[in-house]
Amino acid sequence: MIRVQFWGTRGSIATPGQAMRYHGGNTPCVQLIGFENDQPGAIMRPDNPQLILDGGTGLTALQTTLMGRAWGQGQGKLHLLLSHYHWDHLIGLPFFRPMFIKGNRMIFYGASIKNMRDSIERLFTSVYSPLNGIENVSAQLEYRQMGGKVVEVGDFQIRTIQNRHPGGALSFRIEYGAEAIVYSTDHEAGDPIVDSSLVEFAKGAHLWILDAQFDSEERQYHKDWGHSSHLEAVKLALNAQVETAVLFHHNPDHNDATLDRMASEAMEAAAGTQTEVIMARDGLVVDVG
Amino acid sequence: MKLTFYGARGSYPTTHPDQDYYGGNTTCLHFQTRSGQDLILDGGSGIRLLGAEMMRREFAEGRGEAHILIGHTHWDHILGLPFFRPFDLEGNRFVIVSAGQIGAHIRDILSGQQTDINFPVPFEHLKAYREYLPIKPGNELTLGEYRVETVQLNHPGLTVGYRIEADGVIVTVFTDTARVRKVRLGDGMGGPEPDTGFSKTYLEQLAHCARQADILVYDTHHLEHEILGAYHFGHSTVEDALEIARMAEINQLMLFHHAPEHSDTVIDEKLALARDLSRDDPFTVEAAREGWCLELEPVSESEL
Repeated sequence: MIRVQFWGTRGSIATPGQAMRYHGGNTPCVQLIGFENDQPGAIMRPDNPQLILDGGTGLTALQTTLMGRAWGQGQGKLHLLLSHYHWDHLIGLPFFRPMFIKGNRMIFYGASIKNMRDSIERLFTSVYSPLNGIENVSAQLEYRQMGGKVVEVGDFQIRTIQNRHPGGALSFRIEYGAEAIVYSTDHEAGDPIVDSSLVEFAKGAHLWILDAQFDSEERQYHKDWGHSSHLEAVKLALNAQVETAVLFHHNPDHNDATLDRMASEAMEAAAGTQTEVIMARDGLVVDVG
Repeated sequence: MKLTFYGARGSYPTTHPDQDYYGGNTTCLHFQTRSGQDLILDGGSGIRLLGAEMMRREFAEGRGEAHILIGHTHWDHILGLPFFRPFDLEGNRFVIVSAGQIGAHIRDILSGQQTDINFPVPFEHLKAYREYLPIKPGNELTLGEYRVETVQLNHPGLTVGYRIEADGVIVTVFTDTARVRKVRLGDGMGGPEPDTGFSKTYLEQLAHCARQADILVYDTHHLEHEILGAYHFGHSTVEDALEIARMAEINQLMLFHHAPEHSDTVIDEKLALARDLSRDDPFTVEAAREGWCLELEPVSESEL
């Protein structure tokens, strides 16, 4: 079983406030926790393997669950997969307390070691941060390139493919035992070649987390922004025949009422199919398998 | 003069339900004179909401003008600027006032926030006209109807506190700043070890910049029991704010830069503590909260 815990589901910039309360305002951060099938009650143990997808402000919510464990004592190890290096996917890092505890290991995976390292180091430079440089980060940081071949992290097997997004972004297909989860944030649907390879990539997944930043009207005015509409996301999910599509990377201008409307439109579009559509929201937990 | 808080949180935007009252957006203050001149202080995440409101005015037609003052260039004070819609329209005019950092011009710092690896749209591609006014601590400026004085704050790098005066009203904003008796953090302050003589002169400088202010907005990020071992983070407590408030003979102290870990209840308690500690002082104390708009009148006029 994989537990998928959504800590940040908003795109672009964090959105505090009551109008966003139900879906939440933290930027992308999703935690995957692997459970053995015979693990009683699915209660997490310290040695359950985990992966973090992206390091948006959702990391600041996630950290509270780590600091009471090995990561609070400098004995933690964390694997972070970065879809790309736009700030909304990284800005939680300077505020992520396990980074500042000696002994912890943070292993970052991305398409380009240089861009990944440059971006993470820039987060901590004295111009932008009182932390005054990456050398003041106490955890041990490691950077690993991904793309092309399968990456194995414990019992997780990870494949990647390129999305259509300015500057590029990776989708991840993560398999653990018999379960498969695909994460495709920051993708603009509409290019038949890219879309069909993505559909092939996501085929048969139990869960596909998809960029659904725009509603249909907004999408007409946002060509080449690198994001899809909710209905485009549903179409991809139906083509890939996934069990569950999770609409993700909510527009910072969308309040709960707008997202509720988009949810009903998306569910209607998937009605009568084998695919269930749900909206991502901060705090959502989905057990797969 | 009107003052509206669009963000009162420090460090990073927070989205927790028990922080709704004071709000989760990071620092952004909006000033407007009676005649309608706009001045913005800081471009934290709150500036996105301010921008959306300005787009219901002349800024939507490319006829808007405003000054944007940056206190310093750490993320929580600039990360909203890429989402400030009035920058998108040709014809809008902005003067960006900032000390930058040592060796780094504000233009390059803002461009650096939007390099192609880290943001889809380069800062240079925004259509509004933007000019830069580099400043130094100690400067006196006239920005339209606003008279502005600056002072260096005690925070890593180069951080500027502003005294902003218009329509006969004075608002001084000191964020972010640390307890100088414990640590010297700012570039050129000769730290980090504290120095008694320096502290005395420095506190007098701060008090001078805040003298007789109608409102003193002050970084009160930490509670007293949290600041032990945290002086080097560059923030203050209620006790630090009260000290300057007394020296400067201000009218109202406004607690600001609330810690991201603090719930509304904790900030309520911080405010209650500040009121209790200042019960014999001639000024009042409030805590800044997002969305709060204050209509400020000169004291002498309202007394007439």
